Amino acid sequence: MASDTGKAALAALDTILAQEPEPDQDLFSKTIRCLSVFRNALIETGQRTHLAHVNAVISVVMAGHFPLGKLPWEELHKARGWLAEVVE
Amino acid sequence: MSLWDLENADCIVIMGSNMAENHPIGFRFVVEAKRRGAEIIHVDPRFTRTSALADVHAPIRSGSDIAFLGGIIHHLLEHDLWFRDYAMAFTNIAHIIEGAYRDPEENDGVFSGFDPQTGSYETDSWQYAGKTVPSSVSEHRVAKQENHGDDFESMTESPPARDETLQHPNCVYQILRRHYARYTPEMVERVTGCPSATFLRVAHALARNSGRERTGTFCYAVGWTHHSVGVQIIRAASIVQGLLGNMGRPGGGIMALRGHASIQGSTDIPTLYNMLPTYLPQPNVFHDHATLAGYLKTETPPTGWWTNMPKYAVSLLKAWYGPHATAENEWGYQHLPKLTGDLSQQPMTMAMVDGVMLGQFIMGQNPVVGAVNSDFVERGLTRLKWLVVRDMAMTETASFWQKGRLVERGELKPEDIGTEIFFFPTALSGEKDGTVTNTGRLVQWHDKVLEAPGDSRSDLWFMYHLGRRLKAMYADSTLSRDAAMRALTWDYPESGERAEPEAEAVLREINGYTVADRRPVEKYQDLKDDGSTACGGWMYCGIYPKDGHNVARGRTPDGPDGPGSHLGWAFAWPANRRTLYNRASADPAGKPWSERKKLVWWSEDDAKWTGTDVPDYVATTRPDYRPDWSKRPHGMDALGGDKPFIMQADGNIQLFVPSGLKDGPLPTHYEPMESPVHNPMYSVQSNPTAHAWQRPGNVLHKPSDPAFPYVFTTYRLTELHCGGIMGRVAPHTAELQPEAFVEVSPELAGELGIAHLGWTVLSTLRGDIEVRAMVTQRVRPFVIDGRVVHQVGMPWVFGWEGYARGDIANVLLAITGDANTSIHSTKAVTVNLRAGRLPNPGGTSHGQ
Repeated sequence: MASDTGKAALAALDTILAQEPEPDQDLFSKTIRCLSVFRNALIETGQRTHLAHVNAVISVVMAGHFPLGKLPWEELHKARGWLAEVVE
Repeated sequence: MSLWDLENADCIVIMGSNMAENHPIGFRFVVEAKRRGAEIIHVDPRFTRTSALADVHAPIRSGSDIAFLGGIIHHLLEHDLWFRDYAMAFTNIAHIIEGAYRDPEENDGVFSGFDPQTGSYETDSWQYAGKTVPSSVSEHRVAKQENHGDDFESMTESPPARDETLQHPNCVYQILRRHYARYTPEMVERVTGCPSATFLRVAHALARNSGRERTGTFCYAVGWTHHSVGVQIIRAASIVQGLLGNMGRPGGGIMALRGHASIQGSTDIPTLYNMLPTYLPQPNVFHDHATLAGYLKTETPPTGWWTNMPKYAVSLLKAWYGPHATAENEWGYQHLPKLTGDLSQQPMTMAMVDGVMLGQFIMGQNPVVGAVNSDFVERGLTRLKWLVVRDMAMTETASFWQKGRLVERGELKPEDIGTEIFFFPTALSGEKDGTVTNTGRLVQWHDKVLEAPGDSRSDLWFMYHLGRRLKAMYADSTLSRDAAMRALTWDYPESGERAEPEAEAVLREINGYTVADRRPVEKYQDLKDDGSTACGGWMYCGIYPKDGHNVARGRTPDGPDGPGSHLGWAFAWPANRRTLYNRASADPAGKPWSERKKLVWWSEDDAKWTGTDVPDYVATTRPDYRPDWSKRPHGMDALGGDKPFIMQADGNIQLFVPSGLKDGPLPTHYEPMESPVHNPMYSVQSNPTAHAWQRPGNVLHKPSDPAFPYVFTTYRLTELHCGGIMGRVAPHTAELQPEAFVEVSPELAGELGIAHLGWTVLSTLRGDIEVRAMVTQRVRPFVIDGRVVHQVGMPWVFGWEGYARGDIANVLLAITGDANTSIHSTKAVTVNLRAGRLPNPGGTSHGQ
């Protein structure tokens, strides 16, 4: 379960990085939803080892969805790497 | 300015506020000003009780305020009606702007620096020639990456270049004239619907009542802020007041009418996500804020009063983390969370719907009624695992699971909602000690007069005991993420059976103390950045200057023959000062502009500033002091003795803003994000930097959409206080406003077959509601750009709880945000209206 939702979140994030949409687009929202489900699954299945990493990814994707300045593309790429480590 | 200073005004323009009904206590000073001969003007879409007591009611279409105010700026400049001696000395009107600057008038409706890809601005071309100007630190950071503060040092090299002849094509005066050249009375009428003759009455009254002998004031409330250009509307008024010399003087200013529930206080000691107490910026992970040194270097302007920011920041950390704040650990700076993005209410509502957050505390707020897109909010609440609501009566936010719109129309069943809700009854004002900070920054103490019944407790009690229990839970944790909780000082004395924490102890901490002996700090000038002082909010320093002396308790007014500043009545931050920037009440040489309008002046005999208010200046800096630029002056040394606006980097009113705004250096008319007309002034329809967080369930109407042809605005009611629940649960106030209604003009009612007190349906792409019609001439059709535009309005304070009930106006509104503040637009959207009722209560034909 957690693995599936994690992969869905990673795929959504990959789509963002490939398309580089403007911040208010549905892609960010979709990614956030996937990540939230993934995080909840980690909690419910007791896989807390990776929780801090996933929460950090959520923070960075939220920063892309609702930026205070420019979109943090560099950090989003880093976050993709963190997520990939957890999922893969 | 103080509310009572309104009495000293010769002209009061109330705009973006129905002050008589929504700020009735403050409005008595308007009434007194009128009795003394002041001209009272109400600029508002509706004719309200405020209009009824005004000399002039100028009706404008909701969302056209900048066109109206821009018209005043145009009128003042083109007819040479501005207060030249004041504006030349105290504003940046003669400053020269970078040659790369381009105005929307010559740049297809946007300022130079606009990036259409990101919808944001680079501000390089807005700077003073050859300078990089830091914004006042309390302002929101623009979209530019950090420059480590080094460029700001350009402000210490020389004063900004000026052309005192005002002939330079890129001086602010010439830019203003070009920018507002098309804001003629005719254009004002075309955009706002206000007859040009009425507009000119307002412009003439303002000009006539400004200058050495006379002053005027603007009063506004959320009728200005709740727009996609809210900050720029206020900016437009500040330009008018700067040109007219109405800042820092008796009866002059811009009165922000804050909410009754200590909204000013909740900005000072903030509930805002992006500020630390008293307007210090929250660290940001994407800026050079990884260390305290980096944070202070990038955020501290090198010139002006804000140069003292490190003292305030370190003292704050010392107050929060006490012995755990040391020089070695950056005074606990790493305990502060760093911002990653916009965490204001609108984005967080989106995040709630997306499932990011698992729980929420809702205190002093009722977002199902008071937040925009009510169905969206409800949907988000269903995604939470837990929800804590604290209020004085049951609110819609706490009962949505049982009586909400989603449940009512069968979209959800209560048993399917997993949110665990905890409702805590709260103590009312008279049931607890504490302060209320009013709109004039006046902090007034109130004592508990009776015990709260049953399980009701004060907010302070709740937060204190929650914090105490959390600290106990984390006491043995060794995780770094829990270090802040462990380090936090949380040692307020308790008393009584209920273990109520001592509110005055909190106030003493906010005031500040010297760490060595815990004696109160008397004034913010005594704060240090070496860990020897602690202070929870530097602007409040002086509110508790000595043991046992709570200045907020003061209740000694001036007598009838007194100065009228009432310095013995409570405490106004900072330093018990009543009028900010009051050095501007004296001319550059330090003499009052006139005997009639004197407030603060330079005393040659005493070699200091004096007056009937606490001077807002370095007490002993002479008016003829000039910086020695060969020494690269910093701080106040870089401001001349004739520069009153000390929180700005060069001490001037910024008619043109080089830094600190995300949507342009000058206010420009854009249509609201939803409008029944195309922008008559630019090809750009609406503010290109505003946030439109569109998604299914939160879709905006297109410009001139024939399906939603009417302008819709919302407002409060006198009888149903604040968000409504306090009045709705009290029978004697509920019966005064027994149910929700929409105000409709007789003309529109005739067109649509709507009868007075008949049922109507209001629709948007977010949802539909039904309410009874109040057919009234208080709302009138406008002629905009040659065609009739109808506007309707509705109080937003109703819900399903209490005795006075009705559909929630905010069902109709979308979640959007002003570029600078992310505040929602509640004053100008579009709707459809028809006679009749909904097929199903709570039903919807458009919203999800």
